[in-house]
Amino acid sequence: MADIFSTLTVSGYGMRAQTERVRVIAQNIANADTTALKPGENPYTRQQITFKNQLDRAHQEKLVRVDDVSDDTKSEYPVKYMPGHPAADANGYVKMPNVNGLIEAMDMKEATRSYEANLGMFNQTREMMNRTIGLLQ
Amino acid sequence: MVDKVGNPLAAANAYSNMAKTALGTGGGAASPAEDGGVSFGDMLESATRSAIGTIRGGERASARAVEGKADLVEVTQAVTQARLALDTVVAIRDQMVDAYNKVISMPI
Repeated sequence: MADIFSTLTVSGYGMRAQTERVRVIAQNIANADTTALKPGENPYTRQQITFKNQLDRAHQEKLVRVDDVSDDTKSEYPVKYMPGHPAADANGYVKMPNVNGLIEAMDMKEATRSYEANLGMFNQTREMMNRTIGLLQ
Repeated sequence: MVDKVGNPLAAANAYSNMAKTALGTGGGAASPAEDGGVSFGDMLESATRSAIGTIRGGERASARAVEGKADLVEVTQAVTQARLALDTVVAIRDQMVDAYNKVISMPI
């Protein structure tokens, strides 16, 4: 029974990790137009999530945990010509967040599929256990 | 007394399933019998205790979900575990009662 519960735990952590990922993506999409307030300052920086593998020593489970949610400093901020904006520089350009809607949408799709996969695993495990118990009855 | 059940098939079935459950839980509550093994009653007790613990976990998670303190995955997991544990206990109990009934109805 412990083994089967262990599988449920592992899948549960997988789902939690994907939930966190969806939260970060939602944050990025929500802030896709959040510019700086003053010229020279940086706008909202895209957040990216990284996962890590963590061993649960008590049950020998390799769980997935969120390692870090960090700023994506590698991609450039696109600029937009908005002379009237409070954060516009001398030439009238405003730095926009480096959030790419297409990338976020793909990430979202991936997160959803991964969540579904974990949910399927969870369900399958439960089904297996139920069938075994059915044999007992 | 329990390990001298008359119906060998039902008893063996129940016994092996109990053994699996008891070993799986890893709980050291079962005490060794004289022959070095674990007595059936102890095994049943430890398995039932751990099942009760699992079911309580499910109830706790549900209560915390109602309060808005637990996440959905946690509740689903705990409730699923509780249901599986309960189903197992019920199935084993049915087997045991069946075995007992067979002993009782045995002509002496």
